Amino acid sequence: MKKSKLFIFLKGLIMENPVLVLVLGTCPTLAQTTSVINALGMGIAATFVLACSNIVISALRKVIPDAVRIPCYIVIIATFVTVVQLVMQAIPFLVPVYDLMGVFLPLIVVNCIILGRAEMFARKNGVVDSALDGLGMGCGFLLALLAMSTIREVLGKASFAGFEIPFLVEYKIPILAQAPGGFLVFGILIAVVNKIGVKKGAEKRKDFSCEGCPSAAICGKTSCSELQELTEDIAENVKEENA
Amino acid sequence: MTKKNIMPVVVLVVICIVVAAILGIVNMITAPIIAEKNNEAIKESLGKVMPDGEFDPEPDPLRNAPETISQIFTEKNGKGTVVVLLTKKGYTGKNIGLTVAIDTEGKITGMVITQNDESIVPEELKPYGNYGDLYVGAGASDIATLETGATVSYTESAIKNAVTDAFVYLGFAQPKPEIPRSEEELLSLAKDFYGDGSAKLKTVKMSDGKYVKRVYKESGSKSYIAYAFIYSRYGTPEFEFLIHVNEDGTVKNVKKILWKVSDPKPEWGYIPPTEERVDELFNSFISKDSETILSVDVKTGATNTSERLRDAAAEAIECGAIVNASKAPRVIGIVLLSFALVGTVAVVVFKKRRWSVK
Repeated sequence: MKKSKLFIFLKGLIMENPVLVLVLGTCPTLAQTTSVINALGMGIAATFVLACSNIVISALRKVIPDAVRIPCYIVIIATFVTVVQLVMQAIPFLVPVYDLMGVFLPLIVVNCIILGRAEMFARKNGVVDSALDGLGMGCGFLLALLAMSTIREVLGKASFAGFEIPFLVEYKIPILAQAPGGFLVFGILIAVVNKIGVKKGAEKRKDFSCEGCPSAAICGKTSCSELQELTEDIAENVKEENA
Repeated sequence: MTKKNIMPVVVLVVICIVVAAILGIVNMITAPIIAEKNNEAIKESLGKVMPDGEFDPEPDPLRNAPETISQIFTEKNGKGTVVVLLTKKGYTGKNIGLTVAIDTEGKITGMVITQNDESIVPEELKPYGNYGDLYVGAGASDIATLETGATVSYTESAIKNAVTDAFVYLGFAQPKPEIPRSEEELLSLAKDFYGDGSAKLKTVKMSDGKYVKRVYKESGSKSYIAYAFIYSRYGTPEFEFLIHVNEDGTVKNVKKILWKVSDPKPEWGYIPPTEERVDELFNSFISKDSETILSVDVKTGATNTSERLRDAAAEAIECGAIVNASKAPRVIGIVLLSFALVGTVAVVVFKKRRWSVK
């Protein structure tokens, strides 16, 4: 089934939200959502890297041999991350955000979402579709980060983007700004998105195998048995090559 | 090599070359902007640490400066010197930039952190206000014991070491010696501990040792005394002790030389081990070898310090492999090398003679 361009872009926002549905990129999500500014910086940086790396990987998909595709992806992603780092250091108003993001900015290189989209989508689809997928997934990541950070900062620190909310100061719940609170808010948001997904008619996640995976359609493997067959085929090919 | 094998390598290499070129271009564009921004930050920091100071726009030339010192500005009216420091030895090994103003009497008159790539520091130090202000008024001798309340000790140690470098460079402090006492004194202590004051102990410097700095050994004997010197992770208490290792690689005895700890600060997570605990720990090292020493209980009280003491003892035992290493393999190696050299020369000469005969 041919998916429309709009669908490719929109699916990343809620239906296949990388953080709240695919549960990818959990580490930066939990670490960078203590404040809205951090989340915004991380979300925009990851969206840029995701879109750019998807475009380049998609454009080179017929050139990159399967055997070295992961190293190639890592090199391409690392390039864009380094570009983001250098640019952020050079633009004065981005420097405070760069300082706040600390080690999590270079860690975008190994972000599961970016590598996951490269492997699952960009290497099988055209440049425009991959760009839209990257943008959509990036926006979904950004939205999830903003939602989480808003809840954590407003309720946990009684502030929004660094500005204090005076009437909430006495009622703040500090644990929400700390690590356990991150997990708590994360869990609640996943539940909410699942509920919305069910209402919108999205297929309910049945299990944690290929069938239950929201990316099964993109991956092209609808069942574990099919994946098993593929694995066996690859093993046979390798044997033949060795022989 | 088939095309199938070569192609992946070629593609990966080409991608790497293209990527390197792109990064080079981006770096060419951004590097001057970043450098200018850093310079502006340094100039701004000069005004912060010495508000009424007047400085030349160019820094003073550096002579044999330690790597932590990046720039020095001398105040034109003789009020003091501002040192710009950059250290990479923090908790995550990232840059920490500092600007420190030191007056003519060797006291810090102002200090600011100008660059901090360690995301951990600002949050940690937030409750203590401007971290640099805590150093104002401190002299070279105060730095080691200055209590700031920061719990990221690696980062704070890096900052303190950099500030000490500035004092040393400006002549307000002596460079820190490798060991805190003289060689003669240590040798005498080792002799006493060896149990034979007249023994002719040879000193072996363990320059790569993390904790063990010297080994004292009598020629012909495999038994030796190791001297360990450690800084604690928290603050700067120091421990010095001697470990007598038997010929079979087991610990014979341990002797405390120096025992110095700061007051406990449970609110900062700093609980030094009690002297009884250290004695108990040292007693538990006795008769242990390099493997069994790792099973010594270091989980009871002051875990970090106990672990370091245990690791120092383990290192002392492992020193045996170095100081008691047989010279036979080296001799055999030299002999074989000599044979190879002589053989090569002989072959060359022989062939040359054959050619000349022809």
